[in-house]
Amino acid sequence: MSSMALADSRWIARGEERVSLPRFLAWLAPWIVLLAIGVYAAGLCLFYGLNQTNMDNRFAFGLWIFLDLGIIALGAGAFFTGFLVYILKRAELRPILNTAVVVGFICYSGAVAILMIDVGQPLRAWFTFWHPNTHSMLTEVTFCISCYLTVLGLEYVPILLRNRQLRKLPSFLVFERQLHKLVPVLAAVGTLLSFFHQGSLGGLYGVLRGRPFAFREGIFIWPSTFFLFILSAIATGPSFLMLVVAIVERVTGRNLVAQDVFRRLGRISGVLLGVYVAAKSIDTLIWLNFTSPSEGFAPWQYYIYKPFGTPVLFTEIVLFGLVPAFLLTFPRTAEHRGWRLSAAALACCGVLMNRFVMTVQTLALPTLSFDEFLSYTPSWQELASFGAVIAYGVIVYSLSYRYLPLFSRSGGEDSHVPGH
Amino acid sequence: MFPGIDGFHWTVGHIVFICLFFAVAATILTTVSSAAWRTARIFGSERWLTCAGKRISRNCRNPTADAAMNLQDV
Repeated sequence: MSSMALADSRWIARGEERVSLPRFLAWLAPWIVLLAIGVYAAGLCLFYGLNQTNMDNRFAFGLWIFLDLGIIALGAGAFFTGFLVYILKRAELRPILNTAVVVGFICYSGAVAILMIDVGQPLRAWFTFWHPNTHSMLTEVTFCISCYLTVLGLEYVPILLRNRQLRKLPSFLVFERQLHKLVPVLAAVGTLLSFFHQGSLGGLYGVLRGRPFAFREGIFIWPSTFFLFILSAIATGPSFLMLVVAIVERVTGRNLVAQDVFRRLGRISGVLLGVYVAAKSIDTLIWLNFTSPSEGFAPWQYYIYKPFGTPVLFTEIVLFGLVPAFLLTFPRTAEHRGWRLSAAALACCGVLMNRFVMTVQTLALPTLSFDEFLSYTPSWQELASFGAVIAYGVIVYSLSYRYLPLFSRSGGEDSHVPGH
Repeated sequence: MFPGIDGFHWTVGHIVFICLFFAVAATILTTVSSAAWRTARIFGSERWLTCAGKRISRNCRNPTADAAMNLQDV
């Protein structure tokens, strides 16, 4: 064994089997290349400005905002699992908790990174904190996401400190133990923050009175999209976690989590997805029959432009909503791993499609008599930055899986849940 | 806008927003500080040996336990 491989093996948890270092590096190599290309593209955007993108005054929200909304929704599994385990005391989900934190951290840090490029002048990013418009949903989103990323970082620290080498340092060991005891507080804060920023991300579309495709009535200051975004995020977060773990199991060829955990996650996801589809259907009917006509727009006007015809609406609500909700709750399909994972994938596609529709279709549709239907195709810089976030996620997760006890089954302190 | 910026004047929105934000920020800060302070206190009073001892009793083949034992000897 070479000295490098020997040094590497010392960082891997005792008793855990991992692939050889050369194989691991070969797995990482294409992702590192993708990340490097994306970083270069992001550098171009930061150096030369947003003219490197195909966004303009009409399409101020493009691929990056779609990516942000998508991965933030998929990352909701982190706060929701924390909420279920620490607040509702559903201890049976704790085997998935570490991976939920890592996935959440990757999603949110990726979203914040892409936002830093998207704002155009990252050196002025602090303006949003010092000159906040307290009447804007985006202000709440900015504050909540910043705080929640900090919370996720703090939840990630105890997992990091359980690394085989880091554990040897007594100060790290004790700090990890003390921080771990307080994780329920962080989980509660995370739940509060996530509830509001997931909602506000939806709310910011719902308050767009000048965009009747997105505009919705609501309760007090919150449009219906506020609640729909929360519901869709907590419904698909567990599905995404299932998918991530299933992919990791496939890649590594190991069973990492008991099937019972998958079944419970699937059931939670299915029930919530059912509630979401019902709420979304009611909301759509109200919008088609009352909200939109009151703004002077006949509903059919939104669906005459290809590719945004009525099949998009059908696909979003029925194929990516009702079907997975049924598959995840109907006992025979919910018990079958293949159906369960297919349903989880459909649910994730559904939330991504919803965010795409809300971002791109909303801006593409004309709202004034002299407006035209516009299309938007992202530039290679936007696509490369998008790919970099995915590569970053794969790299961080791969490193975490290799060197950290993400799926501890020892039943010892690693899997101990404070409060139990 | 926040205080100190030209044209700023307080509204209920500002107060609610700032109170909520600082409550959350203070909770996060207090949590981390508390963990750090407890760690420092345990080390200061040698109670960390007990803390490490718990690990030893639960998993005596743990490398951390070995490290703790070595430090105990010192």
